[in-house]
Amino acid sequence: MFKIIGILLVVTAGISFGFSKAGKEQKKLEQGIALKRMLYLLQGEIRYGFTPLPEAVAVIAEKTAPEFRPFLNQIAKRLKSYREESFFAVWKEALEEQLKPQIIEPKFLEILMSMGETIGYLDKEMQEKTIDFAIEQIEDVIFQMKDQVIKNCRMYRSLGLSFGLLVVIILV
Amino acid sequence: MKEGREVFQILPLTIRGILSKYHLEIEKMQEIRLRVQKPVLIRYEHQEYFISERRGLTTIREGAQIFTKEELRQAMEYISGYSLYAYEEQMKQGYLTIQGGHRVGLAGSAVMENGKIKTMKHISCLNIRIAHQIKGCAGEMYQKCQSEGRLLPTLIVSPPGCGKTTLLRDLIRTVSEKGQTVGVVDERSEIGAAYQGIPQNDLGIRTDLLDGCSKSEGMNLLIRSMAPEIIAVDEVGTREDVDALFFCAFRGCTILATAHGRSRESLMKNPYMKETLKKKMFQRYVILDHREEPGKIKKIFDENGVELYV
Repeated sequence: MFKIIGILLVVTAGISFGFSKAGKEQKKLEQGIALKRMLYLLQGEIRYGFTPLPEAVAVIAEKTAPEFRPFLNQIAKRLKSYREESFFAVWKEALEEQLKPQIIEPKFLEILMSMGETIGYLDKEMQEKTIDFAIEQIEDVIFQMKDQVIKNCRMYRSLGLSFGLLVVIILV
Repeated sequence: MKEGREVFQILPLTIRGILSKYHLEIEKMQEIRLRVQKPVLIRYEHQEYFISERRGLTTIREGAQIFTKEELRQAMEYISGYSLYAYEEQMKQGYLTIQGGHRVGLAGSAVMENGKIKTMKHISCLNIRIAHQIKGCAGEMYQKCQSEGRLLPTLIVSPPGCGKTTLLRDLIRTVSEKGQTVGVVDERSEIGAAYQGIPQNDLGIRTDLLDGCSKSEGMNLLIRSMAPEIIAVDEVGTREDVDALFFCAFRGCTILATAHGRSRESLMKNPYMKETLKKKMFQRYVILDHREEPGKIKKIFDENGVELYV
């Protein structure tokens, strides 16, 4: 009886490990999509409302994925203090403090970092192009990793199960 | 928010430091002039001063705080909220209005496209004009510009810096509180100082504010949408403005406006304003001419040019 329970536990642990790794892979895609949505919101605020960045960032923080809210709120708060050197300095700091621990795919961070360097500079057209470019880059990353993520998910799930069974066979 | 706080936060940190150190109050300032590589000039209680780290406000030029290019960059970041794109349209006109209704004039190199100013670059001079709301300052004027409790069509005429917007703002508040519906077209956000659509200045309980809209389009829009008894606008003078004023007057609205000028005669030099005089659009002309005492009335004329009060 204990043997059967032990076997079940080991197999379940293996499957759970596989699913958790697969879930993390899946989350990469979800984060990419959520970032795209966040940038669309920012673009909308700039394009249709001519909203300055401190307000725009605060507004989109309310509508964006909860995991990105601390990042946006930190930027809005710092910009509204009117003591900061530049938008990029605030953006970079918030990216490193708030987003880096959250984002799984490092390429997304690189894209956001380079977007922050030019945002706020020159006219509305320039802002739109900068955000468009960042969205395109995120789409490219998502496109490139989509097939890989599906494959990895399948692999992790089967690996988890296989690993569990292997442990059982070895132990029994 | 304390009046003038918005002005304080757009200044470079060095200048903020000096103002704080010597407890200089923004409320007592009328103007701050910042020119790259030139001393900072502040009009404080209607007198012009330099500022210095050692003396605070001073009339001595030696040791006065010099405004640097880096400070200008910093000020522009704060003025635009790190977002120059949001002020594209205003920059074409050479100024932008910040939160609180304060106006920041810009001068530098204009970028031209098809004969029109596209934007300003290499900005080197800033003129920060501090808006003040003085409740009750139009009380005396209201008495002279009304008949049986209804405001007469009134034009406030004044050179820049004599307090015409301050007076207009308080007159709007006064007539609104006394029972007339007022529609305000605030093209440069100086009258109501709206923030996210809500006026930060008190314009009375019967006032509808259309913020950031051109005067000509705004007046037409307000007449159709809000049916005001009085339409109030600041700084009229172009052909479009005057056409819109006639549109409102023909629809039975009382016009309350301001225009640049020194006298009733100086208005005649503007072909469009001349038309308003000829057709007797306004029944009261209030002339201001005291830069030292903003809002002080010099003369009031009626539509026939007869001086009513001195």
